[in-house]
Amino acid sequence: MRDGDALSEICRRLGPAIYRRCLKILRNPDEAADACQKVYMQLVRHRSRLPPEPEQLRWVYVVATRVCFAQLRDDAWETASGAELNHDAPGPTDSFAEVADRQMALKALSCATEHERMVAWLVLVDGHSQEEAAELLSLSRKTVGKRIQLFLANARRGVFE
Amino acid sequence: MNAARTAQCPSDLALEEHLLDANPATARHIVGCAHCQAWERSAAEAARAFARENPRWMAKAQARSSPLRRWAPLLPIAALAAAALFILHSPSPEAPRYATKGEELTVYIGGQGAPRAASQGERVRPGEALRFQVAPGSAAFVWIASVDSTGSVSRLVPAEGTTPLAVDGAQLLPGSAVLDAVEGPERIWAVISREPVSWAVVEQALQGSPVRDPTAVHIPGARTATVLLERGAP
Repeated sequence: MRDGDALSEICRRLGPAIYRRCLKILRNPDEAADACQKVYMQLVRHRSRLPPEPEQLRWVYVVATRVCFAQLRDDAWETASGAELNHDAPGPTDSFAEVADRQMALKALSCATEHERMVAWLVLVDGHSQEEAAELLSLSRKTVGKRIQLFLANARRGVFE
Repeated sequence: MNAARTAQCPSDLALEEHLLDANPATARHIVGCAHCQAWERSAAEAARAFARENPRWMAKAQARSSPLRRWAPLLPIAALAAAALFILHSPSPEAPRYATKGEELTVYIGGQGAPRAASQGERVRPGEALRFQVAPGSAAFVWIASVDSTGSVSRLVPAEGTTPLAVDGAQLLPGSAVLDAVEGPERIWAVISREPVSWAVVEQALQGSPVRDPTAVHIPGARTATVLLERGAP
């Protein structure tokens, strides 16, 4: 199979997963589409050294996660509003409790560094174990544990003080 | 309100892996978990949005990433051509099994005159009803779906619920589909698996598939049987 065909096949197979990942983190279809394109560009750039097929989903999952968090960071820098996560806008069906929870989560996230946020997202939102998060981010389990502890400590301080 | 994730829920990555390659343990968990069923529904919704928008994104991404700047004015065209090629030519790693009447899937047409078994490319008319018989050989789970000329997927059997129909031996399936006045080709698919495959997996695999080319569909953990119908006025 030619290079371009192989890449198209990967995009066809993994495209929905990439889009879902971006949409889950960014919660905005247009921004998720932008992030998808960035992931595709990474695929094009690294096409000669992509992992074998069974590991490709993990690879794009991590790349999409990094791309989305970088996009959130850049958007925050551009808007300088501090409310960089698109999670602050209530949806039409959101209950009061959901909006309140989201605002509390936003406040907690605003106290964290980008690295802490990514680890916290993988473990607390996506449901990965610390071992899995460590493997995905190529970190030690100890580092992941420390970042989670730091995130939670800062979040509690930020939310309750 | 969405159900909360439980400690037993697979991670998002594990759910994505299940969509690509059905995992029996994950499938069993989803059947009894409101959170993961909601995840599957939103996954299917996102897959539909992806199917609508993907060629445009692909074209942009490929145009942006090339190092050959002097060819830059031609790149959007090339990228669009690549995207078109990608849509039209998607080789599957494992050839699906096709069935004509009498094999794994038989489509019966009734409503006007005596019921008949459809042959490949059979012309069907508005108001006629379709019923489906499958013969998977041994105990299996079955979804029946259709794909029209635009690549839109319709779920036919079972019409409701989260799990496919359990079938043992040859069986005429409950329920029927009545044809409306839409014209054009329509492909009926039977998706047959030993372990239950979720509807989201089936829908994602069939969404956007070219109606006249059954080789473009591959569903991990399942085999397929298909019959092409030509819908039109008498």
